[in-house]
Amino acid sequence: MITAVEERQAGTEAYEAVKQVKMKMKRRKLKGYTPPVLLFLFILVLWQSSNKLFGIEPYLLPAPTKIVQAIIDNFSSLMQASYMTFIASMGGFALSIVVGVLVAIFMAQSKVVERSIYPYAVVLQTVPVVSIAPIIIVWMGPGLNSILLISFIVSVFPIITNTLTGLLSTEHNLVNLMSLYRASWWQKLWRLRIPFATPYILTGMKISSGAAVIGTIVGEYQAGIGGSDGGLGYVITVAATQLRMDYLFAAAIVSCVMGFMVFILVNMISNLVLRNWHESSIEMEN
Amino acid sequence: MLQAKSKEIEERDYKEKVIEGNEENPASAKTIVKLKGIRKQYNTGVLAIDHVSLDIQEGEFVSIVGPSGCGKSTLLRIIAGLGDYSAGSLEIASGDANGKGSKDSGLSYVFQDATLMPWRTVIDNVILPLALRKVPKAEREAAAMEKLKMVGLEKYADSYPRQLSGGMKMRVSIARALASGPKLLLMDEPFGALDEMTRFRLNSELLQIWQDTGITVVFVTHNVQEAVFLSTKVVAMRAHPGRIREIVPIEHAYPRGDEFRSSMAFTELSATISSLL
Repeated sequence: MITAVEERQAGTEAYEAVKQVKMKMKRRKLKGYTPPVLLFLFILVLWQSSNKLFGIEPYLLPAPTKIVQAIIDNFSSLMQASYMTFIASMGGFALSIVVGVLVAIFMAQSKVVERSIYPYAVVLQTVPVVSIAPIIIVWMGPGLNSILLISFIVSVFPIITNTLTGLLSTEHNLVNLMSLYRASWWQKLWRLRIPFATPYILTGMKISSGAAVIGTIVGEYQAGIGGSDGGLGYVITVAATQLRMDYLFAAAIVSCVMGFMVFILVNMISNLVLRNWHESSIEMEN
Repeated sequence: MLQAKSKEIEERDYKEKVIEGNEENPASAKTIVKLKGIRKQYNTGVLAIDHVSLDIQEGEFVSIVGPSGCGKSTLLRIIAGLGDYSAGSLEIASGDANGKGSKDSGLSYVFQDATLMPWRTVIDNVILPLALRKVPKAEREAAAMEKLKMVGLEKYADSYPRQLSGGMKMRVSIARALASGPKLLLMDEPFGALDEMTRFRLNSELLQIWQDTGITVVFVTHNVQEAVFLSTKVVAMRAHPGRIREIVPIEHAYPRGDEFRSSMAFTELSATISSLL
């Protein structure tokens, strides 16, 4: 006979055991972070003392503390610029997703359509953004519209090509199944092809999210809109012409952080959408 | 000349056998599938099947067996309307009276793989045919649940396909095929990828469903014993080109169980059919 107390005790013991395993896993996870953090600190120390150790002039390579100081000193203007850049890049990114998916759906309708459009999609990808940005700015004037368009051009191709691959690789027998049940074109699209292509679309989004931020900054750099509407691209222009290296580094770091955050966001959305069914987002037990 | 003559005899031979096969069924049964001189030639010139004539009565369980390349799957796809044929005629009486424009073809198809949508839960997979037909939500959920109960998976309604074993996935696939309430169920080697124990169990379950629903089943397999165990008649095909060699009625009474599988009659029938392939 097991008494209630014993039972409860067993319960607590089991609970403790689970807790310990979880702690262990957490510790292991933390252990995984240790090497890159140590490397980072090492480089930081080296960098900080580069002036004294290697005689590198501070105006060429400002010390990390100086860069942090520059971020703090210019915090409000950096945040304002980041906000502008963020808005523009999210606009370009959203436009890429909508247009990219629509174009891919259109291309998936027939081989002829696919073959006629594909080369031009590739051209969008291969044209250097620094050469096309001035043209767009001349055409549309310096402003949010042209920057959005530049961001779009840089980020749309991964969406098109990934979505197209997903749509075209839809399992053949599932298509047959839909035909057997006399599904309409819309039903086949919504209930089969789009869900099937979703992991592919999300992969495309992961690639193009960073591209959208870069495209925006290049656009701002070229457009040269001054003042508070300039975005990070303009901050970089100003800092570069004045040779304020600490501010330039500060802008670069803020740009990196934003690109990284956007990627993390897309990655989180991807895992959320796919967690129940797609291999890429399932935590395997073995 | 001689060759042509022997071919003629052959053809007459098989025609007689078809007629013979039909006589086994009560005259009152309605013909649900009528194939006449079906021929399928690919664009490459390869003749997949030729001279296939077959009548299937309502309520029958017909298995098509044959070596690989005999065109048994091709034939099933033609019946389903998934592939077209080069010559002959095909009549399917499974659809409802509304005719060709109707949303309901009255037939379902079970593929070799379970062919489930991984992003849909088990119940949502079973619901699919009803959702496509825009059946009201409460109604289709009840219907899907009933079919899941039929295959014994009601506890797994909210699971995702990846969480199920191969046999369970195939059960979901069968439940989905039944969901639309078809008159004709076409199955293309549905248990080919399963282990023998699971296959035996699913064979029995399928027979139970067949008896309970009165559905007509056309079952393609390369496993002669499986065909004998399940069917009211077995269509033996041979390859190059795919033709019907013989139609063998299996007269043993239902329900069938292990005692049928271990009987002399079963062994003899299996041996006879194997020798025809």
